[in-house]
Order: sequence, then structure tokens, then C-alpha cells
Amino acid sequence: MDIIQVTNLKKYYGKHLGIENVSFSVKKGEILGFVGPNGAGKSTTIRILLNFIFPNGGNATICGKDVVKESHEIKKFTGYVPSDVRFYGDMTVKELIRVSNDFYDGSHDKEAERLCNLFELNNSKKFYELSTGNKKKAAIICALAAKPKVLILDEPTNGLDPMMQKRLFAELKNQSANGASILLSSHNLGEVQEYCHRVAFIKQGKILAITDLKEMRHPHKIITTIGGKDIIHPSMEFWNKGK
Amino acid sequence: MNVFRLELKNTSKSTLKWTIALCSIAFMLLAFFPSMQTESMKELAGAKMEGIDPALLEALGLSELMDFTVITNYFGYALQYITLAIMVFVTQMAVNSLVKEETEGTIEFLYSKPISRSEIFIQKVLANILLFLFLLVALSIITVVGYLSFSEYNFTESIKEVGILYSSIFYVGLIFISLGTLLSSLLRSSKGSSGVVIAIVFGTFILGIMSVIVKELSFLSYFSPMDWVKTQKLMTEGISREEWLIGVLTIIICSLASYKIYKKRDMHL
Repeated sequence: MDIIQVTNLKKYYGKHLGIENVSFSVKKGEILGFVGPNGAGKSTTIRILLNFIFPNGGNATICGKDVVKESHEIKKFTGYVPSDVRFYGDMTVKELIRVSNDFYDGSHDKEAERLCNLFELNNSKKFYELSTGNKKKAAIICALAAKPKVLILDEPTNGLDPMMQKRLFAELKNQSANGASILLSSHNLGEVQEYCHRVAFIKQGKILAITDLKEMRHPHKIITTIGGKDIIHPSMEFWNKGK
Repeated sequence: MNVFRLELKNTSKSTLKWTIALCSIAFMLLAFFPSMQTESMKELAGAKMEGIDPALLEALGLSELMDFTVITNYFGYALQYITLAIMVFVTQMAVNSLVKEETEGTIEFLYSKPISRSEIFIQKVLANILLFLFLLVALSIITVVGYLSFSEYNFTESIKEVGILYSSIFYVGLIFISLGTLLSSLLRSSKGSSGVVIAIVFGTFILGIMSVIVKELSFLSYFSPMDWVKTQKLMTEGISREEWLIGVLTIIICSLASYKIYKKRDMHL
């Protein structure tokens, strides 16, 4: 069952192409890696899914709800971690988490406390006093505390130390095992290969390939068919060229 | 009402600073009033006024016959400059309300929560109006205290006069809030917004002065809301039907336009 369904999504910034004909899906309980170089269109796609910006064409749904018309409903069960975390600097982490939780029904204090302990985050500090990594942790806790069915993560490991990255992925695996669908944007092919079920490669606003990672873990195997041609590791080739 | 609370929290510090500053100025001006009633001051003020060109006097909001020994005239004159400062404050607050969060990046936090843009818009505007009311109530209390302490007005007279003055300023403030909110929905960044705010507030103020100096341009007073609430005019003529119409239409049109624009605009980060 497709939880996130993106079909021919298009976005232009004036005359400049943001994304074009982007299509992919994320199934229930799946972690889909969304990989591409800087400026490839990952954040644009994510911002359309969250209705931060409006598409020029195509459509997208989350749990069958239109991301433009029913965004308010979608966000009741969707958590989001931005790539660059800029929250209210004067608030303490505790206040931020409380404000974030107040938007959702029910109490999520216990879950927030568990996550603070898991990520070893001191919640009495003001947000502006935090390091980049700790800001990211605060965003992760705000996104996960309400136990969302859908998670959209834009480079969530940026700034996190290796131990915290491992804890984050263990938590994400746990969430996906419990049925959460996760769209994970990343630069890091290693973490995508290790933790994602499938990966979508995007470059210059277009999806190059969507690959099952079970196949990709075999280095000499033909893994993907694009335009009727079998191509050996197209994603890896583009990735290496991208570097 | 999460956004409402958040907006109050984020804007309360600057509101408090403006409130303290303006209340202190208002109270100090009122405290000088008894000295305006001494004979030497009357003579001094009279002599100085006689020496000034009548057109300039009008431009400064002074009529030739203005008697500063009456507190309504004295404080009313000072109040037009306090009003100018209040309008700078409310317009800046309104301009910042929508666009500042985009400039600072905090809007991503709000937009990722289950709240519609309509709710964000309405709650932010309501928070701005409440903070503006807080400022006016504080100023009203200080002014009433000043009237009672430094003039011969009794409590009922003070309340009545201060009520008329500040409720009119509230009306003009709503016009500037709606203009500021419209700007906020149009601007891509709050950087440099202070210049735009100053241009709007002082621009409309200067239009009012021009309407007085050049008789052929008297229609410009319709574009100068601060001119509508000059104390002497307010106490004698009140706000005219045309001024009500222009003001209310401006509030409705600007509010609807900014609401529509905000609902459909892309977030700029």
C-alpha cells in the first residue's frame, strides 16, 4: 500500500527548474532513501509534500490526502526534520517540545522524555545555545514525539556524531517496523545503503532511478532498467560523476 | 491558539519596551503641564506663536488660537507625535508578523505542524491587535493619571476625553496594521522592512501636512489617517463619514488581500 504517492511533480522558480516529472512512492513501513547532489531537487520535493511551496504541475498524496488541499490533515500524522534547523532561539528545548506537542491531540510528554534520554539532550538549555548537532536532536525529538505514521527527514544526520546517527537509525528502523513510512533525504550513500529499503536518485530536478537496495548490495548485478535498457549501477555512476 | 500564544511570547518584549518608553514620554509631558499655566510661560508661548508663519503653525498642528493652558490643547499637540511613534510600532509589528519568521527560518517549525495557513494568519493578526490594545490601555491609564494629577479634570472628564483620544488612535492603528500585514504578505524578507515602515508612516503624515499648507491639495488629508485624529479636530468635528469609509475599506481590502496572498505564497527560505 502506497502511503506517499508522488506523480509527475513539477516546480519552477521563475524560469529556473526546481523539479520536473518527479514520481515515486513510499509503501507502508518502508524507508525510502532520497539521494542526490546539492541542488538536485530533494528539498524542493519535500517542501511540496509539506505544502511549504506549491507545485506547478503533477500531484502528490500522503495517505490518500492531497498535499495541497489537505495539508492540514496530513500534518496530523506526519513528522518532519528540516535539514537546517532554525527554531525559536529564545525558547528552551523543553518549551519547544511542549509547544510542538501542543499542536497534536493527546499527551506526548512521556515519548518526548524517552527521546530526550535516548539522544542525551539537555532540555533545559535555550535553543540558540545549542550546537548544530543538538539543534538537530531537538528537531528529531519534536518530529518523533507525536508518534507519526509518516516521517519526512531532510538530511537528518547532518551534525550528529556517529553514535547518535546509529541511535537515530535504530529508532527509525523501529518506527518503520511498527508501520511508519519514512522518506529519508541524504547525501550519504553509505547510510542509505545500510538502512533504506529502496532508494530514489534525483539529479537536476529529475528522478534518475528508483532502486531496490537488496539488489544494489550485489556489486556486479544488473540492477535497474531505464527506458528499456538494462543499466549497471546507474545510480552509482551518476553519484560518482556528481562528486 | 498555539500560534497566538507563540506570537504574543515572541513580540511581548518589544511591545513592553515601546509601552514603557511611550508611557514615560506621555507622563513626563503631562508633568510639564502645570508649568504651562504660569504667566511667564503663557507670555513666552504667545510671543513665540505670534512670530511664526501661520502656514507653518498649521503644518506643525498648531492653530493660531491654540491655548496651551488647556490640557486638551497641550497634550493633544504632544499626542500627535506620540501617535506617530505608535503607528511606527504597530506597522513594524504587522510587517514582521508574517515575513520575519520566513527570514529567520522559524516558519518551517509552524508549517510542519497541523495548523492551516488561515489559522496562522488569523492568530498572528489577533495577537498583533491584542498587543496594540495593551499598549493603548497602558497609555490611557498613564494619561488619566496625568490628567488627574496635573490638571483640574475630574475622573469622569478624564476618562471621557482619554477614551475619545485613544479609541480614535486604535481605529487609525488598525488601518496601519492592515497595511503592514499586506506588506508582510508581499515582502520576501523582513530585512530592510524598517525603511518601508518609516516611509509609509511618515509619508502619510507628510501628506496630511501638505493638505494643510496647500489648499488645492486638501484632498490629501483623506490619505493621512493620523490627520483624522488630531485632537482639536477630534474634539470639535470628530472623524468624518468619508474618513470612516476610507479607513474601513482600507482595513477590509488590505486584510482580504493579504489573507489571499499569504494562503497561496511559497515559503522563501
